[in-house]
Amino acid sequence: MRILAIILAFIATPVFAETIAITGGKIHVGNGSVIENGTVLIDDGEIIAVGADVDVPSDARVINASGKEITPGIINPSTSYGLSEGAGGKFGTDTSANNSGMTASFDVKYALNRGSVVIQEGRRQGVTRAVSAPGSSGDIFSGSSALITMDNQADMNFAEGAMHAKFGNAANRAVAWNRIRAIFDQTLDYDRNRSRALRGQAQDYLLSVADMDALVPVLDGDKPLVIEMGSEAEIRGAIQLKNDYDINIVIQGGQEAWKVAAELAEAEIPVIIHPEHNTNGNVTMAGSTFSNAKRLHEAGVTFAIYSGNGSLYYGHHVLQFAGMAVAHGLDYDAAIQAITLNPAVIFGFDDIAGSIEEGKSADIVVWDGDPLEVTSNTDHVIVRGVEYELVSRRTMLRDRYLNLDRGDHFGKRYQGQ
Amino acid sequence: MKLANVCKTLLGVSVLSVASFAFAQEADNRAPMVVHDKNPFPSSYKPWPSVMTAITNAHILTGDGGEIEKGTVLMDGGKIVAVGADVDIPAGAHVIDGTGKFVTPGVIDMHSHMGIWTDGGNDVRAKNTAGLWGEHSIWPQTPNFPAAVAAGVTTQLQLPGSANQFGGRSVTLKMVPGRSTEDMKFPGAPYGIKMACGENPRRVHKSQGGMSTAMGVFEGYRSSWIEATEYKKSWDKYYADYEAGKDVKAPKRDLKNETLMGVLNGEILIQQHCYRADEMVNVINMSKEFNYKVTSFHHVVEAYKIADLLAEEDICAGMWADWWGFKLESFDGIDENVPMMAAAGGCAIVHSDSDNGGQRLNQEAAKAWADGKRVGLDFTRGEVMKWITSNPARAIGLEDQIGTLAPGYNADVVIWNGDPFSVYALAENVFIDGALHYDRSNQENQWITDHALGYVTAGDHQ
Repeated sequence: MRILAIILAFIATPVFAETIAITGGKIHVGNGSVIENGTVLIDDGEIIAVGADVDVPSDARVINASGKEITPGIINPSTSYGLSEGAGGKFGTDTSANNSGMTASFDVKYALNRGSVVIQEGRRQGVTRAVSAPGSSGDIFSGSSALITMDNQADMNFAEGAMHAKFGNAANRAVAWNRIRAIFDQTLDYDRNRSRALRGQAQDYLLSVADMDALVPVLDGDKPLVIEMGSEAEIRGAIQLKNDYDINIVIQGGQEAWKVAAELAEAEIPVIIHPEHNTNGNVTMAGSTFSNAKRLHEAGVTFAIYSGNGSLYYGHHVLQFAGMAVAHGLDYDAAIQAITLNPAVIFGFDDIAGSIEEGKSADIVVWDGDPLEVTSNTDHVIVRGVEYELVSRRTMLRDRYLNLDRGDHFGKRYQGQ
Repeated sequence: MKLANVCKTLLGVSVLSVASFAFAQEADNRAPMVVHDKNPFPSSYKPWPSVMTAITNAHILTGDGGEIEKGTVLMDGGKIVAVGADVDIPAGAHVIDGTGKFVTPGVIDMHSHMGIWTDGGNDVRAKNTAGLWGEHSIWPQTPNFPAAVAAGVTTQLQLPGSANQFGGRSVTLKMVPGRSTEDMKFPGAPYGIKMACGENPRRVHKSQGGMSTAMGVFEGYRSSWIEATEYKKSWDKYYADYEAGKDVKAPKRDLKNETLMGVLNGEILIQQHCYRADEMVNVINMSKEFNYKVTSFHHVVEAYKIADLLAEEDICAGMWADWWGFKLESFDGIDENVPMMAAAGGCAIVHSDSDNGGQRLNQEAAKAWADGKRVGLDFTRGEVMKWITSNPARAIGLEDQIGTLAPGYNADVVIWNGDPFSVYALAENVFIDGALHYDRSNQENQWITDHALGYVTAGDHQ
């Protein structure tokens, strides 16, 4: 029986979405509000009711969450989920265009591995959706990310992501801005004179036609451009870029974003930050501080929290980092929002997920304590209305060695002298 | 005591003469006996001025497993004088009311990369660079150090990186401002040698046309130990012959083998980077082959697979709370590693291996504690505190000076604004040798390194 359960958890067989009522818990809605002692009602994969006064149908499976806390599924806005598995060998990692000549046209979606045990582990820890983003191509534009659900299902890639750029890949900051602008101007020219370009009668372009095709939706304002940068000077340049090209910019890193907070709020540029960033040997980012989150929030900047570039083994660390931001002055509910609703807003899927509201996908986590506290863990994880066992390859390893005398590992014990 | 032994045990003395040998006043025509100074870069650290201080009504975690829910810590002259629920406070003591606060020993990071990575922590010239001294790559002006003391860290072991089989010597630092690395060095701390097995040396040296297999790594280790054993023999013979009155010439000095001889003589501690259980067993067997002791393993994500053996062999295990997966040899890392090591009776340690994460060792220990609890491995708060205080002190050979709040120990003390095993906990006051080095409420006096000066204001990094 135990073996069967583990196999089920591994293959993540789609289960018929049942009717589930989670009762009696403290509900962090994700949008900044809290419902004490509330009920979440789930049916057919969706949240159909939430509140302090919800009738529980007789056929619902009840999860008693009294004394526990409930959040929307955690959303990590910068990961490599599904693109790497222990970083082993030539095909151990599929995160980047890897100097293959592609830049903006690179798209991670073709390489997503639905069977990844790393996704299973992230889900066990409470991460239910993620942006699976490309690593560095070697040039400024890294390519497109994929939006994924953390359920190992065939349709886990539920939407297109954003275009990602790594500012630091140019020779220097001046080169980066000039190159980005030249590429944008050429892409606009190519888009207007497409047939001439394809007949070979146009100017020489810096990027390939395929790369420019990938940038057209960015210049049309349909696809966000996530630029990784940290210093005040770079961030001011990004605001200028948005004003000049009228595109949808997101800043990732943003160590010194607090210095430009009012301008970012006015330009409606969201920031994806890492609260761990408080020291920087690089003087251009010497303003890195634990207070970044607090100051951005107070200035009205929309921000999300990430756990490092291409994070996948530590995707759930955004909870700890959100807690650290609270320790350094950030409003608690804003911290929850920065790891649930805000990433969904920034990547344009807040109509589907990110908060516990009627009509949204039932991505719910029940915690055994304060979700941002390091001593708390998940009790129940539900993705798209399906509850998954809190089992992963790592818990199986643990169980194998938890009792050495049981001998279900190989070799009773070390016999060497 | 024989003269040679007196000379050989000359430690910690700054020799003012340029020559690094002592003259034996022998009434003969032989050349003076050659004795190399084992401490040519001596600590110049001086404790800051301190006053007799009593922290009262505090929740104390003593670091050696003890917990006092409401007690007093008294320090004077840079040392802990008394700890307990019922401590007499001498007249004239400065009293800090610790009501609602926690008091612990200063946090010890037995594997930090704050400050040694300025120009890279690896010198990839050879597989064996045991002659490198990590302290010569420390940058005392890194902005990381003030952040560490603000997080309750008072002592760090800094090591060269893991590109080589023998990376070089470690150095133990106090989190105090200094104009030189020597100003930060922990006086009299034993040296360690960083060794690395596993993927790193294989990957690095393969790219240089060198060894590319685990077999190659161990062949290199053993060849180096054979060479070091011969080196030690040549010096032992030299001293024995000299004592016997023979006119003998000293062997040629070799920095690499001098470090390894220090290990074989029991003076230098092995700090061994290793991930996998099977490789650790190989390392332990090799230590028996060459008759030395492995003091600590670092980064052992698979400690849980051989926790009983590590406990039995009395080898400390420096671990992350939950890092795993970033390379194949870390793929079996589990969240319960630290508590499983502790449950086996072993010396479990939470370390950072980072230039940033060392600010959160209290949080990391808390994560491991909670993960253990979920599978029935429960520890008291006092026991968990050992993972970041007295156990790392043991791993770096300073268990009789730091890591515990008990009479006679250095007064490295942290006052936290709440339970240190919470994500919301912040260090309010940090004392090193009884002197207040960090005060969260007084930004005027907060440490800003030269490098950060003019870029940040006090408190920005906290």
